[in-house]
Amino acid sequence: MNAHRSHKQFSRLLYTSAFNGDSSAVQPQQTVRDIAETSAANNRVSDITGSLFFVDGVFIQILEGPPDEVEKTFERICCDFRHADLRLIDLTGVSERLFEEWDMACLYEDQESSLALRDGLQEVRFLVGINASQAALQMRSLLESQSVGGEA
Amino acid sequence: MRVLTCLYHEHNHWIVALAAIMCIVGSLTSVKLFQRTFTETGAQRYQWCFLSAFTAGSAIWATHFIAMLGYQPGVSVTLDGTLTVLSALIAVGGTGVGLLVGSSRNRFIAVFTGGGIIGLSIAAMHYVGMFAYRADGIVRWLPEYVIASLILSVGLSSLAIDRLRQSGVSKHIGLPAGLFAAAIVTLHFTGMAAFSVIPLPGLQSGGDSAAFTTLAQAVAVVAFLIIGAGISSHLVDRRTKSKSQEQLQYIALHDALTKLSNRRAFSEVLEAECEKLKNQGSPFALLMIDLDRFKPINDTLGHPSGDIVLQKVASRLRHAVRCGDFVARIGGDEFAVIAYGLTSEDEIRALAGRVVEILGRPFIVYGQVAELGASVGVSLAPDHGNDAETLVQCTDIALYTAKRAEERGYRLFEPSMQEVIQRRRFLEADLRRACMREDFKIVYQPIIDSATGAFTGAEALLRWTCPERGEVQPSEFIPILEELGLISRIGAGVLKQACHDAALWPQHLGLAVNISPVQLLDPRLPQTVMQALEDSGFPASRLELEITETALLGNDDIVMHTLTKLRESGIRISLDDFGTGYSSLSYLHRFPITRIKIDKSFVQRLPTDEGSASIVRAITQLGASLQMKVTAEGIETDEQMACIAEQGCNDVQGFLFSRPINASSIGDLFHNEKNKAAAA
Repeated sequence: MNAHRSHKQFSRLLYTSAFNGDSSAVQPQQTVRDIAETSAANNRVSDITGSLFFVDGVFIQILEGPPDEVEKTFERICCDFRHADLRLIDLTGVSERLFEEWDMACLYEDQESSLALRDGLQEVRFLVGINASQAALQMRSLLESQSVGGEA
Repeated sequence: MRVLTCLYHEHNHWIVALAAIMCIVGSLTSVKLFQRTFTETGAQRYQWCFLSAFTAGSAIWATHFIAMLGYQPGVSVTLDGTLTVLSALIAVGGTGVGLLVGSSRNRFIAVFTGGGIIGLSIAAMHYVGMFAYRADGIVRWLPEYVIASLILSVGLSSLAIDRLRQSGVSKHIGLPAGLFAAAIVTLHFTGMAAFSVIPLPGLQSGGDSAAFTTLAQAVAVVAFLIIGAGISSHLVDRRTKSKSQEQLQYIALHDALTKLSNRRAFSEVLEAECEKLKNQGSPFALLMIDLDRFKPINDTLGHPSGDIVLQKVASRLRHAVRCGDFVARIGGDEFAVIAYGLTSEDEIRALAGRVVEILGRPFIVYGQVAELGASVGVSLAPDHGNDAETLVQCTDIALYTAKRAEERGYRLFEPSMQEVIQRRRFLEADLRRACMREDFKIVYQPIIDSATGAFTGAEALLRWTCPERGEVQPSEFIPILEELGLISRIGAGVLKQACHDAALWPQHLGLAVNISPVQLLDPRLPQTVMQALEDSGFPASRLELEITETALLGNDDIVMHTLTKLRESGIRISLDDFGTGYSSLSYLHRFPITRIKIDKSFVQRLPTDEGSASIVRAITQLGASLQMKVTAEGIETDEQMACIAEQGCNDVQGFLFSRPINASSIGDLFHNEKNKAAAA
């Protein structure tokens, strides 16, 4: 591609947080959907892409886009008390987006989740603790397999 | 009385009234504008003076022409354009000069010359205007009225200037404005009394009057506009002034960087709340927040990044508090919150918890991650006090306690905190005194070879007995000495004295002295040690310096340099309290360490605790493989001793063998043993 692309023009941020149960009475899944929807709407405006996973009461979210927009979005998340025990796992400069097609892809387990999805989510959760970039790749491949599965 | 007759019989009353209103409005405006020359200096002053003269001149001119509209001479009239314009210039120019002189410092010159100039220019305007007035008839002038009009105009103008100067910038401008208006009106109508037109027989009356009326109306409208402009410039100026006053007020009460209220506003609000508490009994909580690890951010990421962090802190605080709570920045990295209407302690804890939580989250600034944290002190009104001073004091104490606690977070004020702080203050004072008097004592705890049971040396320990509070534990007073910056001095004294004492011991016995992290950072340490050795004649090879892991953290280069230098001169280095801190193996590898001392907390859990036994075993093996000696501290029972001996520690010390004892006792102890050995 051109010179701009080869430069690390994007930031990718990975954080985890626990679902703060007492700040709202609704089901966590509902909160996840709400968060994903509002953030997708915000992200379209601020040119951010990413994904939000929810595993065992833990949010795992990736934000990628222009560095200052990622910074702003993360600051907004930091001001949100629906999160507890918020941990910044990784912040790196990247030349390409991993989640180009998603304003904010959302994956979580519920009663209807397939065994494969559950395993996939668990693996992501495990990877987050040891290798952030591996976790990001795993999140993308899980999303891809889901959307393929959805179409079939 | 011709003036009144003329006014009554020869004028249209409505138009005369309009002229009078015009005159009064114009006068008020120009006086108001002229007042600004009192408060301004330099060019600004001339600009206001000009604006005032422009309005006043227009008022004079307009009054004249409107009044002329109302004049009914009964003949047709025309106006000479050139003279009309000239009369306007005379009015503006003359008033301008008059006002300038009128604002001079000298009262006499101001009143008489300034007033005179204004009065004469009003008159000049009027009579030039009258020359422009061409009536088709025989014009007659009565000189006595002309003279009277001049005198009245000058007199009233002078009075107006005098009153104007007296009024200064006050709001009561009615009198000077009235006098000025009177000068204009009086001159006009006295002047008109001096003027009469007798229609020429044979000429048709009212022939060209339509043209005159149109022109006069145009002149009046223009003059109206000018006065309108004068009024609006006054109003605009007043609005800007009140706006800039609001801005000043805002700046005075707000912090420029974070837009939060500043310390001054905080004090005012707190006072007001205390007042409200007394009158209405409405309770509130006071939180004071101190950022942890903020200075390093300024140092490493730079001040601009530090500023952004502070702005983000401010914004997060606004999110953490409830709507309506008061947030202020009261210092560099100190903030305060006044939370209203909180009644239960749970609610207050929840709020303080939110503040700690939100400020503990990472900050990203220019792609860099900054991890901060916050300590929060909380006090409640009226529970802990009902005046601002007491509340701030309680909150400060709670904050101080929060900052010192192992686990950072918030602390609610408790009276016992005060005692802790009080004790610390006393200790600080006493320690300073003790340092000057060298009131510290050194005691020695023998170290024993675990295989043979023979003495191998002793560790020098610092003791301090406070004259009022009795014996104080080293774990309490040494950190205070470190904070007060006294430890290096005392450390040097200990080293000197210990070397002196140990020089008297049998020659196979070593001396161990503790070195605090602060001392280790001091590049003069090797020199101090060498000096102590030299003075006492104690050999370097028998001295061992005990350091802790915390001393090795972060300051690699300086510490490495110092330790290498000490090691080169034959002094041994041991790592104290091993196993409690980071216990990093890389330290053991990198730094020239010759001995590991297992922390007594492991030893004391022996032999029952399996975990501690494993740790002791691991450390002993580690020491053996790295060719380091291992000492176990704090042995109190035979069982512990048996267990330690089994693990293969080289040396042991503890109450089981001996408590720390004074210099002469340890000397005796060592010599007795030597004598016994020699005898055997």
